[in-house]
Amino acid sequence: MTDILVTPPSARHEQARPASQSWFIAQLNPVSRFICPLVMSLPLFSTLDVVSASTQIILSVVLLWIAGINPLVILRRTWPVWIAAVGSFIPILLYGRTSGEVYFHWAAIVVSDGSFHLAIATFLRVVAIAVPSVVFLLGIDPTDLADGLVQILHLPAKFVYGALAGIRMFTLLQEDWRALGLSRRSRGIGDGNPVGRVLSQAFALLVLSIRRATKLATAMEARGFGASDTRTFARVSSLHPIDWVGYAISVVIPVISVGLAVKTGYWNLPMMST
Amino acid sequence: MTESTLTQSAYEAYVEYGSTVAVGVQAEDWGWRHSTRKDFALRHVNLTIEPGEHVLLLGASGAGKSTFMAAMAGVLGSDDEGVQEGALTVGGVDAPKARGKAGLVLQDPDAQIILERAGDDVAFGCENLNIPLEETWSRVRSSLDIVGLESLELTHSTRHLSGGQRQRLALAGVLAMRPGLLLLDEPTANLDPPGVREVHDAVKHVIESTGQTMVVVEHHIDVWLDLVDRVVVLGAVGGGHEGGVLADGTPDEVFSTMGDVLAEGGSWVPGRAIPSFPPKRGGGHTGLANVSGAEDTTDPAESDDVVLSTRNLAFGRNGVALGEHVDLNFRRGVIYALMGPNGAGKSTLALTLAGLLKPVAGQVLISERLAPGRTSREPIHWKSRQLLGRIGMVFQEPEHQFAANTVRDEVAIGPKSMGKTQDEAYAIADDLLERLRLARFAKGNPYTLSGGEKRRLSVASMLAAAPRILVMDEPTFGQDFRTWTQMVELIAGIRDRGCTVIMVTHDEALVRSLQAVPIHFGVREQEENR
Amino acid sequence: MAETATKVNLKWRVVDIVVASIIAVASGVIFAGWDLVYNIPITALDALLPGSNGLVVAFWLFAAPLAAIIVRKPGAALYAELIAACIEYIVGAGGVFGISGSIIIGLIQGVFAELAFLIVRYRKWNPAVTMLSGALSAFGNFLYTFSPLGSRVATDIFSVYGVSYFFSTLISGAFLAGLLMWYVQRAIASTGVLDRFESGRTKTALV
Ligand SMILES: Nc1ncnc2c1ncn2[C@@H]1O[C@H](COP(=O)(O)OP(=O)(O)OP(=O)(O)O)[C@@H](O)[C@H]1O
Ligand SMILES: Nc1ncnc2c1ncn2[C@@H]1O[C@H](COP(=O)(O)OP(=O)(O)OP(=O)(O)O)[C@@H](O)[C@H]1O
Ligand SMILES: [Mg+2]
Ligand SMILES: [Mg+2]
Repeated sequence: MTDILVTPPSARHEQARPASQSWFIAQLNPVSRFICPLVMSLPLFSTLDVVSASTQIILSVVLLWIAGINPLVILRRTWPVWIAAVGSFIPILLYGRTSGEVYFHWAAIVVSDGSFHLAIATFLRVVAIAVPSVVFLLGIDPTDLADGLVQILHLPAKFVYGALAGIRMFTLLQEDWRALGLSRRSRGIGDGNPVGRVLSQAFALLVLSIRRATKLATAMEARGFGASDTRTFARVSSLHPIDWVGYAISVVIPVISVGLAVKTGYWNLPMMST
Repeated sequence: MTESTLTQSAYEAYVEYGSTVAVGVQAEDWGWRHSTRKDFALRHVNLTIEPGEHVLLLGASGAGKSTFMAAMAGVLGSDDEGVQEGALTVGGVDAPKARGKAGLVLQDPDAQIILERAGDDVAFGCENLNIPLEETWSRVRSSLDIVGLESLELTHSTRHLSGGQRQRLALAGVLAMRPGLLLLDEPTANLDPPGVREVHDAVKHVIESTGQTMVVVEHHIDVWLDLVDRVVVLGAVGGGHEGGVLADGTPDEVFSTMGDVLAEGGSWVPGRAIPSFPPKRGGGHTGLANVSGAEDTTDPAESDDVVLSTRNLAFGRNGVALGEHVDLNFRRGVIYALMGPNGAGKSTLALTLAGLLKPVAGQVLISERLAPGRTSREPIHWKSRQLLGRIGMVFQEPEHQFAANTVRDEVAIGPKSMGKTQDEAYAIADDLLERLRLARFAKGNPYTLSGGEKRRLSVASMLAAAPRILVMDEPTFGQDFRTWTQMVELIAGIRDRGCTVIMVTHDEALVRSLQAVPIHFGVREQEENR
Repeated sequence: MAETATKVNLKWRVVDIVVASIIAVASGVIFAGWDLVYNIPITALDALLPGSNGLVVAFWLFAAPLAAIIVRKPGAALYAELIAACIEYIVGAGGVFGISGSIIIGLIQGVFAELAFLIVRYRKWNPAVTMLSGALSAFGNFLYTFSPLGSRVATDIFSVYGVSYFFSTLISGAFLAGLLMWYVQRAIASTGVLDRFESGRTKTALV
C-alpha cells in the first residue's frame, strides 16, 4: 500500500558538465591548463605598452576562436576582468607617473599624456593576461587537476589530496549554507537585519566546515591515507602530444607580441624608465 | 527480494582478489579520555579478539563504542588529543601503526565521502594501500555491486546522494580495501529495511569468503545476530561506574544470563518487549482516513482538527518534482510516520511540510487557528519567528542544527527567542536535558557529543520550543533502549498535549509503539522513454 | 593566557592538512567574491585619500594568519594562502587577475605571512605574532603591486599615492588580517570544533 508515489531514483539524471567549450582545451591535461596561461603571461611582464598587450589579446582571441570559442562567449564570460581592468586604469591615470603634456592637476592627482598612456597599457595588459586564464580554467575538474599535480609535477600527494578533499567540501558548503539557513529559519533565529544574519550564518558555516574537515580527516585516515608514503593511482594523468602543442602555442603568442613591441619601439620596462 | 545473478557474480568477483589476512585485536586495561573531558570515555577495557572472530559490540549511547572503534582503526588521534591508558594492539602492533589493516565505516555516513565522483571515492582506499590500477577498478566495481549500488555510474557525483546511498557508498569504500579487520559503526542506521538486509547479506558474504575479523556496533542487534559468534558489552564510565567490559560471550550466553543486566544498562536485548504508548482515548483519530482524504470532506482543511494539509502538492529540490499531486491532511494529536525507501524523498517532503522548502507546485496549508494573524496560511511565506512555536523541524543531520556553543544554550535558544526569561529558558532546558540523559554535558560543546547524544540534543532543542506541529527526520536513530524509550515517551507526551507529530523513520518499532499513522512512499514504475 | 611555548609538535597530521585546506577554500571563495566588488571600495577610498585603498587589502590576506594560528604548523600560512589563491583562481574561473595576479601574488603573500611565525620558531602563538604576520603579508603584497608584475608598476613608490598605500596596507594587514583573525580563531575555538588542535584546547574547564 502506497500513499505517495515518487519518481524512481534511476530516472533522476544529472547532466554532465563539459570539460571545456573548446575542443582543444578539453583535450589538455588540467596541469597544462594551468601552465599554458602562465607561460603566455610571463613575457608580458617585461614591458608595459599598448602594442604587446593588444597584439596578445588579438592573437589569443583569434586562436581561441579557432579552438572553438566564439569571441562573444569570451566577452560574456570575462566581464569581471573588464571591471578589474577599469579598476586598474583609474589609479594609474590619476596617480601614475607624469610625463608629457599635463591635462589636469588637482592635489595629488595629475592626469598627463604619459599617465594616460600607461593607464591604457595597464588596462590592456590586465585583459591580455586574464582572458586566456579564464578560458583555460572554465570547466576544469579539481580531481583531474590534483591527479596531474601529483603525477606530473610530483607535488606531495598528502597535501594535494588533502587540499582536494577540502575543495570537494566547498561544493558541500553550498548545500550546508542552504541547510543552515533552513535550520536557522526553523529555530526562529532566521529574521533580523540581513547583514548581521549573513555574518552570523557565515561564521556558522565556517565552524561547520571545520567540523566537517576534522571528521573527513578521520575518514581519510580510516581508509589508510597518510599511513604510508607511497600510493598508487587509480587514474593515470600524463602529458600527450596535444599538451606540447599547447605549450608551443603558449610560447609563440607572447614572443610575437613582445617582439612586435620591440620592433615598433614601444617596448618599455617601467621600473627602468624613471 | 530475490538474489539476482548479478549479485551472485558480484560476490564472486569480490572474492577473486581475496588476499585478506585476518588480524586480531588485544586491549589490555585500555582507556581513553578526550582532552576536553574530565571523565574517561572508556576505561579498564580488557579484551582479546582472535583473528577471524565476528563480534557484536554493544553498550548504551555514550558508552564509548565509537571511540573504541576509532581506536582500533588507529585514527583516534595523537597524545595531545586525549589521554590513553593501557595498551591496544591490532595484529600485534600498536593500533595507530597498524592503520590500513583495519577498515572503519564511521558512524556518520555524511562525513565519509572524500571525492567528487563515486568511483574515485571507492578507489581512494585502494590507492592508499598501493593496490595496482586494474585490480583497484575491479575491486571498486565489485564492491559497489555488493552493497546494492550496481546502478550507480562510476562518474556519478557523490554530492546529491541520499542518506542511505551515502552509507552504502562508505561501506563499499571500506570493503574495497579488503581489510583484515572490518569495523562497522552502526552501518545500517539510516537504511530502509531492504537496505539493511542487503548490507547484512553483503557483509555476510564478504566475511564468510575472506575470513576477515569483524566488529560491528549496532543498537538493533537482531540484524546481526546470525553473523556474530561473540557479543561484547561495554559499560559507560561515570556516575559511579568503572566502565570496562560488562559482558562477553556467545550471543546465547550473554543474552540468557546477562539479559537483565544488559537491559539495566540500556542495551537492546532480542525479544525485548517494546513499550507501547497508544494515543489516549478520545484524542486523535486512527486509521487512514487522515491520508489522501481530499474526497472525504468538501474542504478538509477547514474541518476542526486538521492542522496541516497539502493541496495538490508537488515537492522536490531545485524545482524538479519528486512526487506530485499529494493531498494529505494532518490532524491534531496524531502521529504520522513517513516511511519508504532511501532516496525516495521523505526528507524533502518533511522539509516542505515544515515550511522550509518551497513546494514545486501546490500548497502546504496550516489551519486558520494556527496561522499567525491575518498573514498567509502557507508556512513558506512566514517569517522565521512565526514558525517558532508553530512548526518545528528536527533535521536528519543533527549538526546542521547546532547554533550555540554549549549544550544547555542550544536547548535554550527556542524558549529565549519566544520571549521567555533567561531563567525560564534554562529551567526548560535543564528539564529536557535531564530526561534525555544529557545533563552531564550541559556545559559541553554540542559537536563533541557521541552520535546518539547529538541526535537527542537536536530533538531536545526542538521540543523546547514547544511547536504545535513537530516534523522530525529520523528522531530515534542511534539510540539505546533506554534513551529510545525516553524519547518515545516524550513524543507521546507532546502528542497527548495535542501536538501533531510527523516523523520520517525506518524504525518499525517506533511506529508500532506510538501507533503512528504510516504514510508510505513508493517508487513509480519507470516510464519507457526516460 | 594562550601565549604558549609548550612542547612543539611540528609534524603535519592529516587533520591539519584538511582543516588548513578548508580554511583556505573558504577564504579563496571570499577572495573570489571580493575580486568582483573590490573596485567600488578602493575607488571610494582613493577619492578620500589617494592610496588609502590599501586599507582593504586584508581581504586577500587573512587566510594565512587564520590558518596558521588554528593549525599551528610550519608552513601553514604559506600553504593556506597558496591554496586560497588557487581556489580564487579556479572559483573565479581564471580570476580577474590571471594566474600571476592570483597565484604568484598568493605565493608571495604567503611567504611573507609565514616569516612572522618562522621568526619565533613556531613557538609563540599570540596576537602580536599574528599581527606581525598580517603586516608582513601586506608588505609582500605591496612589493608585488609595485613590481613589474603588479598593476601599480606605472606609479611611483615615493609619490603620495605610494607612501599612503604603504602605510594603509600595513595597517590593514596588522589589524584586519592579524588581530581580527586572532579573535575569529578564539570564537571558533569556543564552539568546540577545534578540540583536536592545540589552539582549541586553551580553555581549561573540562566537562
Ligand atoms: N571529540 C570528543 N570530545 C570530547 N568528548 C567526546 C568526543 N567524542 C565523544 N566524546 C564523549 O565520549 C563518550 C563516548 O562517545 P562515543 O561516541 O564513543 O559513544 P558511543 O558509545 O559511540 O555512543 P552512541 O551510541 O551514541 O554513538 C561520550 O560521552 C561523548 O560525549
Ligand atoms: N540538497 C540536495 N540537493 C539536491 N538534491 C538532493 C539534495 N538532497 C537530496 N537530494 C536528492 O533528492 C532525492 C530525495 O532525497 P531525500 O533526502 O529526500 O531522500 P530520503 O527519502 O530522505 O532518503 P533517506 O532515507 O536516505 O534519508 C534523492 O534523489 C537525493 O539524491
Ligand atoms: Mg557511536
Ligand atoms: Mg532522509
